Amino acid sequence: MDKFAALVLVILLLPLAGAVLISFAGPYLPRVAAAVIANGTLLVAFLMTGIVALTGWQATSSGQTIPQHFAYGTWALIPPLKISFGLLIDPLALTWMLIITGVGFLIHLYSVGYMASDRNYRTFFAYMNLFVFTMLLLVMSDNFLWLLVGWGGVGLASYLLIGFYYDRVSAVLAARKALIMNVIGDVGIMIAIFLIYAHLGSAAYSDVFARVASVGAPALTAIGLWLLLGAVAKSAQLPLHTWLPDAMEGPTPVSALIHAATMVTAGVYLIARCYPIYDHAPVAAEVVAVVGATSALFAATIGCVQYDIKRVLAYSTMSQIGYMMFAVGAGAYTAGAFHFLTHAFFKALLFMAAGIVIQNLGGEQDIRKMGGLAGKMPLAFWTFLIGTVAIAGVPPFAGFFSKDAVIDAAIALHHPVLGAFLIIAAFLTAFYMFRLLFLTFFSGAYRGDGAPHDHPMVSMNVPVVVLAILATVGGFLAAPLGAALRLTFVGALHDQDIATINWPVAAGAFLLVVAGIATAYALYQVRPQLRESLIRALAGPRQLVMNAYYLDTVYHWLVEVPAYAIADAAAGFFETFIIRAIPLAASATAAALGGFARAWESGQLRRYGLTIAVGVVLLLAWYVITAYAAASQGVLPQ
Amino acid sequence: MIQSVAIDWNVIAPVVVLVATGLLVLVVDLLSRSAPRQLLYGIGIVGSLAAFAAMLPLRGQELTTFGGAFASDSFSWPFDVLLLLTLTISLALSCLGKAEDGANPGAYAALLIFCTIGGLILAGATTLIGIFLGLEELSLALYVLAGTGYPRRSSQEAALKYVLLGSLASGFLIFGMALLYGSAGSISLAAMSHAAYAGGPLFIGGFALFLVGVAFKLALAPFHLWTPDVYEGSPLAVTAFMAVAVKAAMFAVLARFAYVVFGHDASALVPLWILAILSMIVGNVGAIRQTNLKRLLAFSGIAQAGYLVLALAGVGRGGVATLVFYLAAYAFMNLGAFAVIALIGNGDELHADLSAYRGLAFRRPMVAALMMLFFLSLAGIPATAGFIGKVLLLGQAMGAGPWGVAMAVALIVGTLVSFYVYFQVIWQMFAPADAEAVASDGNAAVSWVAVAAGAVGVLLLGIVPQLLLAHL
Amino acid sequence: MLFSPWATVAIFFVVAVVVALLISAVPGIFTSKRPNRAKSEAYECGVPPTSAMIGRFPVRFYLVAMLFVIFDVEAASFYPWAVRLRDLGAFGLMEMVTFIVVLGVGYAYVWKKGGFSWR
Repeated sequence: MDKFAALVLVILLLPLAGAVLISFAGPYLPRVAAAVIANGTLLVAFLMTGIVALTGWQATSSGQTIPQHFAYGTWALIPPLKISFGLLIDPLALTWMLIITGVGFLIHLYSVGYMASDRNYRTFFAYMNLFVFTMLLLVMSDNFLWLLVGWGGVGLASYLLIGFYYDRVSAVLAARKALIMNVIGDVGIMIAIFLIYAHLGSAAYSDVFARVASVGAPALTAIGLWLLLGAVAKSAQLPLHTWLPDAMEGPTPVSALIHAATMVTAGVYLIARCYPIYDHAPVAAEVVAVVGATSALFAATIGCVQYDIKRVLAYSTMSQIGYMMFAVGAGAYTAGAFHFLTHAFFKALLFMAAGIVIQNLGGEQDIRKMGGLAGKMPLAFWTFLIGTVAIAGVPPFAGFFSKDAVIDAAIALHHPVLGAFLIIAAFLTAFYMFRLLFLTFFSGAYRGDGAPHDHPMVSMNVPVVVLAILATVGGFLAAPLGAALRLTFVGALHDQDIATINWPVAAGAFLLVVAGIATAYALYQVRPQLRESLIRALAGPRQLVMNAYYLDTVYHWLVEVPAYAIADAAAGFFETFIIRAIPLAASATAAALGGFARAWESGQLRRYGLTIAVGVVLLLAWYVITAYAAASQGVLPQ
Repeated sequence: MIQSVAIDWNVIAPVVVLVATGLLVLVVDLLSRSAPRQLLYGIGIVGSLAAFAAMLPLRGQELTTFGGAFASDSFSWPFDVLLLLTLTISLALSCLGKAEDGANPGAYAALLIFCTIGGLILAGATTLIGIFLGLEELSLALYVLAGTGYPRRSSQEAALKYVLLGSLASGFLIFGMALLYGSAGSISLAAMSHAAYAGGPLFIGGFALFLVGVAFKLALAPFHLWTPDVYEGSPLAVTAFMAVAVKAAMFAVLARFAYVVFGHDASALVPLWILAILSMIVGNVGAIRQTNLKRLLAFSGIAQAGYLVLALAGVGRGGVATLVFYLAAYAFMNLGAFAVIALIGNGDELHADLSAYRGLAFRRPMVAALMMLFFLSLAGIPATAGFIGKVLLLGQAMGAGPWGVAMAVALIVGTLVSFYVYFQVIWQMFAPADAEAVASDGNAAVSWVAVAAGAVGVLLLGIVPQLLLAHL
Repeated sequence: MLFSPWATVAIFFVVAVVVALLISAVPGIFTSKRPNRAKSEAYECGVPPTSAMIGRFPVRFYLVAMLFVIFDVEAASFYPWAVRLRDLGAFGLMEMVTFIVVLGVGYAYVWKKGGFSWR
């Protein structure tokens, strides 16, 4: 193993080592040691990832090629199935790795302060490190099987962290819901892997993508759709999105890391990674684009009427991931990855700034009980403002460039309807984000019953400021990112350049954004009466949207109720008459045999002997009968 | 003129080392008035390790001696390793404070060692006489060992049942061997394969009776009835040894016989497949209502023996690798589970009862976690050795015609039923209870080694199976 | 194919089963049954039993019997060896020495542990 291969393996294993160390040595460690281990492993992993990325960048720009694929040997050889363990460190994986380790480190740092008074402090860091490890495995793997391991692993870590406050029933229920939804997706990926193995004879990316052209479109479409099932479950897209708002029951750093910056973008990564499959399966790709654009619009409408600060952010996450999904579905893989990058910055920033507000208000999340906080929490306000303008798409903040790249792609790749969805969603995004900003930080005086105070903590403020800077300048990463990802998306049919801006489109989108901001300003700052009358006029539709289109209820009646009915029937019939009947019958038989034996006077030993004798006779009879039958047909030699 | 037989001492070095160790244990016991039993068991463990050292140079070699009657080849090597591992762990478990070893620790240790020698002979035997010799050496010592829990009635009962039924089975076996000899005109297995090709009543009858003897030792249904009583009655360390070592040695014999004799045509093995399916049913269903962990593991062992037969389906080189892998997994999870039973009662038999496990997870979380690991492996949950083993077995069976598919189905159904059995134990460990933990003494450290070895084995084989598969 | 070796076996098999069944079934059909209490006793043939069916021997008898068998077999294995001693030479001598040493250790062990004392 050369140095480079060892280095990337260490990046992967460091967070795991941290998780194992904290788990097993946890009770004997001081709290600060757990925090140092968790943060240290991530910081080192991030620096090493940076070294790898820079080395690759330098080598590429000086015209050299460096290895991207590192094989570490065979994990299992069960002929004909061979599962090897290897890592694929190409620009696509590196983009995700940098965010996972970099933003992950900042969020870990933030957690040092945010979770300071929690009694399960060490457990929290163990789970967080476990999450980072599984997420890294997901993006670094060089084949579908290890991707699935990481895929399941992030689901597990997410489950553990959503249910972190396990003494709250709502948290436990939310965790369970997230797990079930995610497992539906895992099954989709498993079926996709089975199909891939059946049609392409391997699970390694290099083999699969090289052989894609030799397989017919129907099979590839099936594979693409099953993969999409996994992607929509993990990335909270329609129709498997309902777990994400509930997942906000987890601690805020968890929402920032897992349910905004990294895990929920795994679906985008998966589809970008499988670009050769989607390029050859246009139907599946079209479905991805439709799902993405619809989700973007759908979630944006719900975001407009929610009152829980974290739920608004959750729906906005779903909406933004819709943009990414649309981009990768339309074939503009680089634009999708670019939006992932900027989104990680500003969404993590928004969650962490919201976390400061929530903590300073003693856990209050309802924006109706906030207001007028701008002066009381200046740092939270300014950073939240930066995040808001970034997500809304105000130039020159990061979101402007990436969202524009996605909308450009929609137009360039001839998706008029879906493009319109995205543009309306952009308007709504600006509206609901500024609504959130106004309700939280302005719109009159403080409406809650707590005592707002600013309680500055270095470990929480530093990461917020760093992310605010990144959310400001992140848009200028377009050129280097585009250049790097060109190495991954070799031969992609529709990939678009993200560095050039289509100015007319950008200007039009910007005007809509301004309109959205102005609407929010009018309704929430200037004319609250207008808002009231609007709410009254639109009471019916508003109720529909506020309840997220009653999808939870629909699923309840469509899935849960029949499932429970089937389960109850099964429990009534299957359990009573089969599961319980087997041991009962067995014991009855045993009792009967026992009584038989007792009546026989000599105890069990004779029965054992008799059984052996009967067995011998039957065995001999089998041989004699089969051999005689064979002999009489002349099969055996005489 | 008698030709003196050339003996390759390297080939039989492990056996010689073990014989010397057994005799040394007896002599030490004789000479010192009050040798602590730990010393005697320690000698046994050192001897077992020395025998392992003597085996190291034999790895990968294909050697025979005694005119081809005893082989040390790549086939026997892994079985020998498993046997020595089992001996070591059984001796380690015997060191526990309340472990039953009868009145004579010297004889007890020596018998365990002689038992292992029988196993080594079985693994290397290439003639009928060799097989019989090894089998009797193994069995005679075990009959006595089963009764070493002497004052306990169930131990006496176990010994008596085992010796009576074992003799019956040996009778069938040796009659079968006589018929086989009659049909082939030779005692060597190689010569047997010609007779097998010719078929004929003498050969088929001989093989049927031979199969009965082997199936009895393997506890395949319907020749399994002795197993629960004997496992329950025997002292813990002996039960662990029986469960693992006897199975390993007998599968070595059965596999060698199947490969050498039926290498060209396995159709005569159909009754064996039927026995395997029966065993999977009987073992898993029988385990459902057991409340004694030793009995439960006995039924589990019956089912596992059935699973192991799958490895022989479809005669090919991959079969031996599968067999050895599953045997190794089986050894690790069973030895680990027995070591936990020994550990929580400090060797006391009473703690084999399921009720002793109520609330174990709260009293001794580490022990409970490891016990859970072993039972998850028995159930075949991924990331454990049991899972990979079952995957290999299924792969082996699916390529072996309709009977292979039938066995694969039985394995899956049996596994489903066994979930109920194994998760019941796990559930017990997490049920609330306010029992006191049994204090363990200094000797418990030795058992911890056994538990740790089992856990490491189960996890390593489960997560990185290639560690072992690459060498098979 | 009627006269294949398997036909013999099959006929034998059938006859064995049929005869066994007949022997156990026919007396049940044709005999007259007039049981009384004494005749129903399984032991001592219609005479009321006066003692337990199985006498109890001290386990020492078995112990001695087993030891006898062991040394008897040992002695038996000496004969062929002694007959061919010259042919076997030094190798044969060493073989027998090993055999006797192994046996001797066992002998000493049994002796020391009191196996020969008639307690």
